[in-house]
Amino acid sequence: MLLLLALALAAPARAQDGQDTVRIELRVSATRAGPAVVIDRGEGAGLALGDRVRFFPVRGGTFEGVVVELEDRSAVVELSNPNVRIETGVKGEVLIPRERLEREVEAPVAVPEHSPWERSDEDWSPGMPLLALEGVRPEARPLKIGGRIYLYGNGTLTTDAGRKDGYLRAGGEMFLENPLGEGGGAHIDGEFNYRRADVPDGDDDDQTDLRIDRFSYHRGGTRFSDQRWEIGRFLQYGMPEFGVLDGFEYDRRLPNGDRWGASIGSAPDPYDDLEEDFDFQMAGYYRWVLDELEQLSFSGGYQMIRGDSSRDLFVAKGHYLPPTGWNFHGTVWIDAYTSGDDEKDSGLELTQAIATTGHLWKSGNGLNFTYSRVRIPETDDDLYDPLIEDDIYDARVDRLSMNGWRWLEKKKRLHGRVGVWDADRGSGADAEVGMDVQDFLLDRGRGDLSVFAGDGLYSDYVGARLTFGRNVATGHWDIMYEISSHSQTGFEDENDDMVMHRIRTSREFHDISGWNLSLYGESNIWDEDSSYSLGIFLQKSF
Amino acid sequence: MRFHISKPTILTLAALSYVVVACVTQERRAVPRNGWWAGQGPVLPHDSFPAECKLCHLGDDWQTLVEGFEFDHEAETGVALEGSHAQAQCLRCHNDRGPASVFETLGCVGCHEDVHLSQLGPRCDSCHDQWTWMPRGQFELHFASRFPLIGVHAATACRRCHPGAEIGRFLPTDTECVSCHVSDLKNADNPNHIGLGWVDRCDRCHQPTTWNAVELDTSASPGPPGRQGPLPPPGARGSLLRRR
Repeated sequence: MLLLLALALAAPARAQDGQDTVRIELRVSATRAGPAVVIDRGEGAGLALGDRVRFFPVRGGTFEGVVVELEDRSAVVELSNPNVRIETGVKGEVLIPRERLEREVEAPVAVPEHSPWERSDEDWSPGMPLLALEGVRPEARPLKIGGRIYLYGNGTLTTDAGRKDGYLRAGGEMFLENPLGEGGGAHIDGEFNYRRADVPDGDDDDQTDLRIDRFSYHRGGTRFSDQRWEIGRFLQYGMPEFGVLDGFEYDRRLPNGDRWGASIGSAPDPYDDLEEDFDFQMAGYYRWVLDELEQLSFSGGYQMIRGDSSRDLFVAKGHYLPPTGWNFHGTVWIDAYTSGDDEKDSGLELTQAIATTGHLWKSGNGLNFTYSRVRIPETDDDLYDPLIEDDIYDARVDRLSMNGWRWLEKKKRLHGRVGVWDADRGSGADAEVGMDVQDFLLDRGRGDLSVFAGDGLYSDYVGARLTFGRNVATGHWDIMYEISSHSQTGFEDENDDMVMHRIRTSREFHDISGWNLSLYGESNIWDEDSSYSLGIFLQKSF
Repeated sequence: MRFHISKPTILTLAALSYVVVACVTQERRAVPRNGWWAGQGPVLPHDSFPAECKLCHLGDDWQTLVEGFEFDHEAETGVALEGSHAQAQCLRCHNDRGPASVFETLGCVGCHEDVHLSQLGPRCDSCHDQWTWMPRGQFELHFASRFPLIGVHAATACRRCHPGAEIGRFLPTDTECVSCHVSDLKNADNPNHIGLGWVDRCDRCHQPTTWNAVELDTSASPGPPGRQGPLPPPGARGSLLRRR
């Protein structure tokens, strides 16, 4: 049978000596000490001792070896070049005489005796791979723990008045798969923050916070279960736009792939380290999908919050993600106000929106258009100082932008963006165009030169940025210099200009025994003042 | 509209919710294996894999891969795994949620929770790479806004203006100076800004070049009647524009 399969897979070929041969495809299944590898074809596929095997690693090149040991379904190949290392999985081929296969096919193949097959193909349909029907259910899996720990640190010194700023963020995240033996999962995520600001002629600032971002247990939502629930503190699953919840969420997938769900509990304060004031929250949503591929979907939901904060929020979103062509993501947030709201008029207000449509061509070129709107919702009478409430709640900005990139050659890419914005206090525009070149100056080096200009709310500006970096065996390093000239809107000519220089360098170490380390230094120089920053990011995943 | 919700009301709502959930759960039907994705086959299709199973699996345990297992994801699937994705366990993506291709189409949020609550759009790679998820390039991104970071703002921690930054919330943020500097406004008593009605449009006198001084715009108008008082004389040094 194996020989027939080998014949079917084999492509006819003719060796240089004119002998009619068959090409047998194979792969490296294991490596051996010394210049030898094990392949997944053996005597059963027609191989014989002394056959020459050729390997084609993905990284390029062709390497040869000779079959020195032979079993029915595997063989050991000694490599001709002892300095070459062939990885597991690398493809290869061997040419064998056709007559060798034909001769062996003639041998009778014994059909093994076995008892009748008892399992039915109830869930199988034509076109479905046979291995589709098996799988270890979540509740049968062993407990597995994963996650990460990390440390952020940053210190900044400003020469003007000698102000010093610093912060330290240390956190961890842990996932437990099947901790209770019923197929659920637990998720714990928290962070410790330390912030300090030394202000020579003002009040110093010294804060510490311990924040729990997540402490939850969930179950279901897999291909084995159309229902999912989660309890504890978590980011809402069905509609993340509703934010973090201390409570319970239920989600159900319908046979046609649509989903609905609801949540109840308390909404922690997102602006105060998720502090819990018990603001009652209730929400519900429905998600419609076109088909199993979920290329087209629409969702709608409503969230009610009552307590120190109060909000009636409607969220609608949709996406269209075909394998090729233009795709679309869009989300809108609509707040409902009543006569009881002090700063906003009664009725519905489009508080926030973001819509993006983009296209990625086969050539690697890409283009995106994005529209966004931001207003500030009225949720809490005491959130802002009465002195500034009018400004806060009247604020609005709409922005339309385009960004894209085009490969000019294999290693040269032109990129750019342009945007226009309109706000309650004015309007403006910004643009940037640049070119990045790979393998620039050094092997695996990358250089980028960009120029930019804009008309901002408080200043007009023009500038340029030069970046050079290189991927190395242990990670990456880069250095950046930027110069920009700013003209402060509304000031006289002799008092409105400022040139700013920015220099930044960073060094990253990737996956050193599971650790990632990033170090950086940055300096900003403007007018007669400057600032200097040093930072570190350290992370270990497990 | 503000409601005070009493504890009995909350308990009643909680009980009602429990009843609803219990009823729905009671109707639970048997979900056929792969019934959700019947047309798409298994989580990880094997139909194009090599015939030699031992290439990846232990002979006596199909759920465990051989030690030293390697798989050229780009060559075999056309999807390159970069950064930490190249080190990740296969089951982080290929698990019983369904075929990974569906989630891959959604982009990053197909697998990663969107802690930005969808507010920053689908292009996570604008700020994140695939190694550590540490954000970078925010300074440059501010040039694609109406508020480029210049002067002292370029040396300010993100959280100073985005109080939800540490939990991934950057919006909404107002760019009016007093949104962040209201305490400075209240402390500005030489001259007394609030007494003179100077409660907004700080940029008429101040530039973001220093924590301490005021640059006077002698050409600026006093602003709308009733909202702004007269401006200080040229050369005067004002109170600090400093966020506490």
